[in-house]
Amino acid sequence: MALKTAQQYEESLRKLNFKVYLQGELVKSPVDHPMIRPSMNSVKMTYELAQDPQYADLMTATSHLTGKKVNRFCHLHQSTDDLVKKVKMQRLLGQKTAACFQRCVGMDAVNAVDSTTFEMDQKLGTKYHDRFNKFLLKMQEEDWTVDGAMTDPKGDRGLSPSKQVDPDLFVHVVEKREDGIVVSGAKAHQTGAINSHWILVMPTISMTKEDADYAVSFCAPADAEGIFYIYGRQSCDTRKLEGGDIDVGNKQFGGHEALMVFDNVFIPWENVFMCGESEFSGMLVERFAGYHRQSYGGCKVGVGDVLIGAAATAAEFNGAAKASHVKDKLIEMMHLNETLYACGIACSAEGHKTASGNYIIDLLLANVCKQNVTRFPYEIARLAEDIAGGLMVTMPSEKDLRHPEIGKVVEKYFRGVASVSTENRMRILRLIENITLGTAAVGYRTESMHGAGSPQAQRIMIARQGNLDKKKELAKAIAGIK
Amino acid sequence: MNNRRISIIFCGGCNPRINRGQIAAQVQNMLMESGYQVGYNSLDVDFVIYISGCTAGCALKYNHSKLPAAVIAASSIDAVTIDEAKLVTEVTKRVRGYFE
Repeated sequence: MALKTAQQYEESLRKLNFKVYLQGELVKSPVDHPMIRPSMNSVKMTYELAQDPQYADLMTATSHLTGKKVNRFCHLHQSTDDLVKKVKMQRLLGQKTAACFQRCVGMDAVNAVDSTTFEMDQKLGTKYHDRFNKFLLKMQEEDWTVDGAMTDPKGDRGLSPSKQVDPDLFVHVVEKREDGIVVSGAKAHQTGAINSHWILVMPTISMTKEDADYAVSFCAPADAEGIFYIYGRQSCDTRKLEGGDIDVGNKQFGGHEALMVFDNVFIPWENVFMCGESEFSGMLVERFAGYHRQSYGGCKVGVGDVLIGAAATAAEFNGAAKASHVKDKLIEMMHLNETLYACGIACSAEGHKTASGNYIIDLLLANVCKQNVTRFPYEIARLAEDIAGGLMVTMPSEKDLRHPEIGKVVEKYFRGVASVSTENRMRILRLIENITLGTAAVGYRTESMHGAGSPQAQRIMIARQGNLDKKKELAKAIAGIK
Repeated sequence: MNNRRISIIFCGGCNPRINRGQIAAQVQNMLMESGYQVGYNSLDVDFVIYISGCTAGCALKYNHSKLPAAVIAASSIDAVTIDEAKLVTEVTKRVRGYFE
């Protein structure tokens, strides 16, 4: 089975024995939980579109391992065209879900682990790359969703992993056995973890020799013995328990994050891809972060497309579409959104081949891309709120609209242009609310700020890669300075 | 000494992270001292050294051939990062390794 159908994906999740806590309770069936299911639907879309001939060019690729068609999320980029298509695929999925579709972290993780394990083996004589390829082959054949798990809780940011008061604040090896390792700790903010079949763990920072126990990378089934999850809250999340379909803003799709806890989890050697090689932890982090910073030049743009469309629709429903300042604000939103896309495409087009054969983005441009993502969605959201008007956050609930008596009042006083129903006006405003400050704002705003590394992390990379000495040479040459 | 014709092919040089001209000159000198013929920007040779100023690797991207080659792109040779100071000796080692 190289490509799962959407239904097969959902059924495959049902077979997993997840241990998930949500609002203090153990969840019986995550797939069917009303607060989790929309996020599953977003991942499901990555399977559904891969089956659709209209989208096959972006959603699928040819495996370099088998020559078979695989979902692009399971693919190692074999060219700069593949890198470009990745960004286009992410824009497409952002447009179709208006949410985080979660599967990128796994794609970015396998691409980073592939080249890092190859170079590690070349230098140190280890055997990680062959092991990794076996995992990748299985991932492609089974069309797994894989959670690329990097971010540790980190505790005191001023202390290295081995100096923390609590050793579990970074995932680490607690025991080495003949047949494998035992790990403990946790990974925070794990996007899509509960919609994943497997997890691929990577270290979160560049490590030194004294942190060797923390320089660990491995894969494990998402429901492995000893792994459990605590589901993250989102703004307005309990609206999903109310049963309506207007107030949630986006009834069908969403994203999720969770704390992933490892309580003495056994990992067989065949699933270990780094164990103590601290000098390569920085390379793995930098490459994963680079790929993920590229990703945001696609996914956030797709969600931005929906938000801009929603703002333009709201302007029409409000009767303000012809106002010149509204038109100008929509132009500004499109300009910002396409600038993000341009960065995603640029860092892909300027990518290059790694020693293992897969392709990696231009790191400088990927960091510029993500730095813009920490800013532009906020401005796009601000302009959307400006156009939408205050009603977006003051209007009554769907239950009020449906009420036999006050419903008529709601209908009467919340109508905009006569040709559009009050219900439709409420729907578009709730969608804007969802993306700018509801459940989807997790992905569109704060994840844009901190996901794939907070702004300062990109500035460090830009400082490193920006070629400032060359710029000084250029200036001196023009100025006649010798 | 026949069939030891080397060509150095450059990228366009829009934003180089390394001094391409200096590296090429040093490589040329070292190889010519050993009896190689070294020219520039030709594919009518036995071995190509691609020199790109950054990792985008435009020298190879826009002048691809099936000839044996060594690829410098910023501080890397054949996709493996090395110190910039070692680029010249490493690339000449590869040329000699191919012919000898």
